[in-house]
Amino acid sequence: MHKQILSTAIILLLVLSSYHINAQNMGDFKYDETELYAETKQVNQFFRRFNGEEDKHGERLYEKDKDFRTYKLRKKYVPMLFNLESGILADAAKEKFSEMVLDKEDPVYLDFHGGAWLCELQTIFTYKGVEDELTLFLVLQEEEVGSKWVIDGVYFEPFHKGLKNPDNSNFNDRKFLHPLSHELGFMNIFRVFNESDSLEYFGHKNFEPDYLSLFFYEIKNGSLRFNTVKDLKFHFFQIDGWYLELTYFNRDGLNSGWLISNLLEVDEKNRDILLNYIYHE
Amino acid sequence: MIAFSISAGMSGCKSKKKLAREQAAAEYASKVEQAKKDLLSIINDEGGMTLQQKESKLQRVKGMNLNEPEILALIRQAEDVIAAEKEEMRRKWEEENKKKEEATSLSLADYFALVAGASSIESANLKINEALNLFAGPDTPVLIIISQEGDLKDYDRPTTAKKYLEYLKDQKKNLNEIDNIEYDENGKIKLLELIKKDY
Amino acid sequence: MKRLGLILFILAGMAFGYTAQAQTEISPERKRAIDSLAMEKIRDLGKYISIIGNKQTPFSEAKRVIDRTLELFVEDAQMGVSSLYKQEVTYYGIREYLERLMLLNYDKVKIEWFNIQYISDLELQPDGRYVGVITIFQRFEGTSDDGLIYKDVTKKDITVYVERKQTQIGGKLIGFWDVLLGDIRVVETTK
Repeated sequence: MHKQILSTAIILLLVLSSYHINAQNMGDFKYDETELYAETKQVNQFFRRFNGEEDKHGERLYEKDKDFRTYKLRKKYVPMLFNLESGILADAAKEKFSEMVLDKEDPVYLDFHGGAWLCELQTIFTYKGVEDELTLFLVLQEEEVGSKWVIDGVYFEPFHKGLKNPDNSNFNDRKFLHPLSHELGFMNIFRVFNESDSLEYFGHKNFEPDYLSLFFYEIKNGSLRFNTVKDLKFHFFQIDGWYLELTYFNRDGLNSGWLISNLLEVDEKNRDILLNYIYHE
Repeated sequence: MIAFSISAGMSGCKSKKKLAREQAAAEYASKVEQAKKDLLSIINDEGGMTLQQKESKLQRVKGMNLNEPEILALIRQAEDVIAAEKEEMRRKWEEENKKKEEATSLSLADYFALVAGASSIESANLKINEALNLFAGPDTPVLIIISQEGDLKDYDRPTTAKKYLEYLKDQKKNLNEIDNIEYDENGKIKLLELIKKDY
Repeated sequence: MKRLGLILFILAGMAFGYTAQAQTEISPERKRAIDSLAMEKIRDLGKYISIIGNKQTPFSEAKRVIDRTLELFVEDAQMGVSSLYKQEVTYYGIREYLERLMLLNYDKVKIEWFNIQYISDLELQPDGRYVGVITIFQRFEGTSDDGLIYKDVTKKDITVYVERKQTQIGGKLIGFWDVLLGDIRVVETTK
């Protein structure tokens, strides 16, 4: 693996030093900017480098430009978009993925507006006086005019503790309102509300807590207060049969910025399992 | 005059009619003589008369309705002289105006360079105040063209003369060329259009 | 199933994505002119910041330049700052940030921007404006009167709003690109 990092780093260095960086009009600053050019500075840049839609200077390429989306350009860039200092990215998976994506007959591109990707955002909230981490899940929603990010889900531990997703898989022989409760005008319903711990078992069998509603409600009634944002990463399900995780690497060297931190081959079943895992469901 | 009256008195055989006829002829002749003189003075004038004087003289002569070939020819000549002078005046006026515009835009470009390259805040402010004298007011609109496709012009957000000059002082760079200047009746700039140099 | 929503997104997004892009294109040439204009504003911002942070700038001039700087921004734009040691973002209003910069307790301040900038594509918002992000890197060096030097390199992601507007000037209708800056995310880098 070390050999691969070294060889890719050499390629990076050759690619980037093959043109002159002019110290221009932003003061007479002569700092080595090679690393800054190399960094995948924006998620937008990740898309463009992956798709072969920008040149080595970071200048946007359009359909009429000769290098636009060429195999040659992408072959150079796609390997650089992985976190090369990773322990979990398997070489075999990377190779298979790259081969598929760069296929000359049938290349695969990422589409910013293509859906099937989401953002996992770490935030800090104060809930009933206690500061805690809260995870928000956001997706890009297309509107009649333009697009916008919307909140798709929430994971907050106090919510999960307070309102459970009832496990109705096993035969529940203890918590129930008997079938003739109606004959007594449901006077026995008082027991339901006495035992708050098992409250969820008295909901219908398809009941699942909607934590997003809870999130909005608790903010509105003042129990939950936003402090700040902390960190974020992206999950991509857009490429058929594959899952990518995108993370920001704030470090020195030529392999930094927004990089693929995880790559898994997933079929439909695994994809759903993975989604549930991400959403903590 | 005396000769006339003496001869008229001595030869009592000349009829009154003939006398009147001779008198009219003499008057007519002197009129023609005067008209000739006037027209020649217009034609040969070397700056002694203004255009207006020439024109009124010509009008007077025309008003006499002297139907003499020589007079008519001279009238035509005088008209030509006056027309030529008018043309010359118009040309001069146009040239001066153009020069004036060139003079101002050169100065304006100079000022822009001076303000952007000023060595101190004080000297920049001095130049800004001088430059503002070229404008109708500090709020004179300044437009900057960022791109042009045929007739369609794209501009940056409109600014004012004062703000633009201060911008040059702050940024110490002069990236726009003068594209068009509009003046008001007092010769001051009422609208300035610039264009980005490296577009 | 709960995640049906996301799956539907996956399918709908693909259909939507195609049409949405078709209706929002700004031609590459025009985009280049707008990019150039936006980059100009960013450079202006950099120069203004240098002037404000410079100890030699007279107080009255610095205050005037702060006002000019604020004219570059939309109302209520915020700086969101985090450091290598504290990932959580601290929020500052732009005016507050600039005033703090003016009052920094260093003898000498040097602010320089690297000659590298990255400009994203312009995306259409539901309100009809376009939004983009420009990334630049800034090097800050502050020397206190006892010779202590503080240095950092920060990455700045700057929101840029672009809107086509029209106005009457001198009796004629002119169309212009209104470019305004928005929120700025400041991240300390290891570089």
